[in-house]
Amino acid sequence: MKDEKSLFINILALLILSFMAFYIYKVSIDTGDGIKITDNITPQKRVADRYLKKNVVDENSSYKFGQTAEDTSANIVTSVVVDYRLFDTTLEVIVLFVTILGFGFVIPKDKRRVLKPSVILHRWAPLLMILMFMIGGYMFINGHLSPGGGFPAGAIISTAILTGVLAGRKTVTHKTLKVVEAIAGISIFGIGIASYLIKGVFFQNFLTGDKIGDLFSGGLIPVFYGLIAFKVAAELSNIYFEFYEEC
Amino acid sequence: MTKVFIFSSLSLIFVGLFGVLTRKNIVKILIALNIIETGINMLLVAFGYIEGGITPILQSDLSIANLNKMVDPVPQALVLTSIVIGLGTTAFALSLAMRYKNTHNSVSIRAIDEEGVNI
Repeated sequence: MKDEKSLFINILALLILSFMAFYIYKVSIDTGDGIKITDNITPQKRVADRYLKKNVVDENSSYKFGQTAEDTSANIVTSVVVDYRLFDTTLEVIVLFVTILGFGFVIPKDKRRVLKPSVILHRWAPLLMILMFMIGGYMFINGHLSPGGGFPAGAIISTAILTGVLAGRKTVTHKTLKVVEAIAGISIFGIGIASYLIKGVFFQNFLTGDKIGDLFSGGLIPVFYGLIAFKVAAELSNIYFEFYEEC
Repeated sequence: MTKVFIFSSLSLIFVGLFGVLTRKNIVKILIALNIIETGINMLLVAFGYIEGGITPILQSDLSIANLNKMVDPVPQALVLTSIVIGLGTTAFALSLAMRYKNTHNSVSIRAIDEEGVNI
């Protein structure tokens, strides 16, 4: 790189950027009149207040732990991702799908040298993979009770498949990945249409009556998170296969 | 504490911006873009922070009494999905970089101007 180490350009960029950073920092911590970005004094005015109190539909409703409510997920981040803002999440899953589709078209299909895996990795990979699959499964089953959920679970499961590929083990084929991805994607929208037929609103939770804090609570939330986990896992493992595979 | 979070995330964003502006190597630019993405995710979470806040997970009746002390769950929900999208877009950009290397036999963004110069 010829002029990457040019001192003048680096110093000029540093000066301009520190000038910009100073003013942006000053605006973000401003607590005077006008628009406030970090308004930590009155969080009750935020939209999240309705999500926390679970009274989006009926303003005066309240709930107790261990009883039923409007949305029975104990983890409120999960109830925002998979119930109140489920349209957002499905569209982001579609964005991920389109990215992987473009990736598959663009990546050059040339011959690549694949290194032989070491004996230690080849022997110990199945044990590692079993542990990773267990943690991934736990994360999407428990996504409505503890931190975690479908997206991190998908990432963990795809990492397990990557370990198997690096160790030279036979794990899954391209066709299996495509089938899993298609079934998960169709089921998400299929459940959406089913809830339209049952409740009259697209993506509305139709499994109600469960209690906050139980393993089988949250209605459709664990179902959606499981489908999202398998879809994300299939797509991310597709990336690893394309990068590593001997064409 | 909010000031510390905002300061650190803004410095990450501008370190990444410095890399994008001054580097010529495509792989270095992609690493800088990932640093910017991490900084923006941190900034979004920092905007939802409350002094002395607790995690937005219901564990007992005590946590329902403290709903006003919980941090904002909406930015966390947005960041959760954006991290996975970031992985997909990074893979796409890396495949474009591989294509560029095959065509120009170089990873410099000036390779189109300096045809035939191997850097």
